Amino acid sequence: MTDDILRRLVALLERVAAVELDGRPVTETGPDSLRALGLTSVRLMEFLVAVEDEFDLIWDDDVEESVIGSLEGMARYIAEGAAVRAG
Amino acid sequence: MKREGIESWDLAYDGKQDLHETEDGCKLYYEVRGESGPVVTFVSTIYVVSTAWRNFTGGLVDNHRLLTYDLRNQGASESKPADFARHADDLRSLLDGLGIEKTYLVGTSISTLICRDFAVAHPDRVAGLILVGPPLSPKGSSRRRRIAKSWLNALETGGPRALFDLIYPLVFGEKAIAEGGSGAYLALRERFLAMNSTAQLAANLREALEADDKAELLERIPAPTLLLSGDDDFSTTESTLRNVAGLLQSAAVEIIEECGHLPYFERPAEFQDAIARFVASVEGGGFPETFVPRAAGVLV
Repeated sequence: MTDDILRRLVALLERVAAVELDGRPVTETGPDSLRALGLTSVRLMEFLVAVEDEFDLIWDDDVEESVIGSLEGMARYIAEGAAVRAG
Repeated sequence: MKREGIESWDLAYDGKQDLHETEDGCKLYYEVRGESGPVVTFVSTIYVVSTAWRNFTGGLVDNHRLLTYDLRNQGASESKPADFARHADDLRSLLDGLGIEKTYLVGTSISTLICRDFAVAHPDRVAGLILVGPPLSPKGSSRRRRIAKSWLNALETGGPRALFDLIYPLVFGEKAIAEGGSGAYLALRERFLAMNSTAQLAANLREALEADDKAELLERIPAPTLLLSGDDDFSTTESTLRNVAGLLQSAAVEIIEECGHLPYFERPAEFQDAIARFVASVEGGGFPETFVPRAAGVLV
């Protein structure tokens, strides 16, 4: 499940940050992978909003920085939330 | 919080590296924009690097020459230990190096103290002061130092994230926080953590602890001065600003409604409009009588 979420996250990111990425595929997904892309705060916020829409979740302030800075971390966070919702 | 406000937290150095070397060998990054008009120098504060000012000054660049720079130990300037008083010397050195005889100074938060020190030491070189969210108080430094100490403690015990969590609801106004929601908070937090090291933040906060408000210094400032603040600024109040203005030789107060400690982030249009009106009033020779505050600010 996490791998599928990760693929969707990468696709989403490549769409939202198309200007910054300039056609380069997102290949790094480990720790600090999102931070290392150096997206502007606005682009990062747009990505977070897009993630909310894509995965039907609402971010809260207590999300750890490892989740926001890493694609794999974000995928795990989303998968865990989905598992909780599924009971 | 407007888009340009959020964007401005990004360290957008574009590869251009204009550096000025001070007498003690510290290289300072600076940018000059605008072709003509009075020189307006923006003195950065702990969390606002020189490049960020681009986002807040687009409306001024046609009629003013704008100088922004990174303080030592900040952004693209070199790290070189110094006490707080050194910042005013750095500013004098930079202006000398650029051949600027006289300038308006815009300070924000703790950098208003740098502007104050410079205006006292070099009154003939200051056309006017715009002090934004100044933590100045006729009653001294006690409260400001306690705040800075609590920030330093947060940094030392919890790291940059604990510091960010402490300052975010203080420096941004209620309106901006409500409108930005968790998305703005998380995005700004992520960029803050990516941009600032613990060592750099700690050095800057320790410098802030050294700075002394010395109310008597305000009485020695002859330069026309605009005290500009949001009405939701955690660090000051309109009554405090009126008292500060009463100590200055020539001053006016302008308050921006529903705005926090950083009006340029939250209300960039009003911020630039206030600067433009202030400069025009001073250049016209009629300040403070000809300066009309936009909102309910009081002309002193």
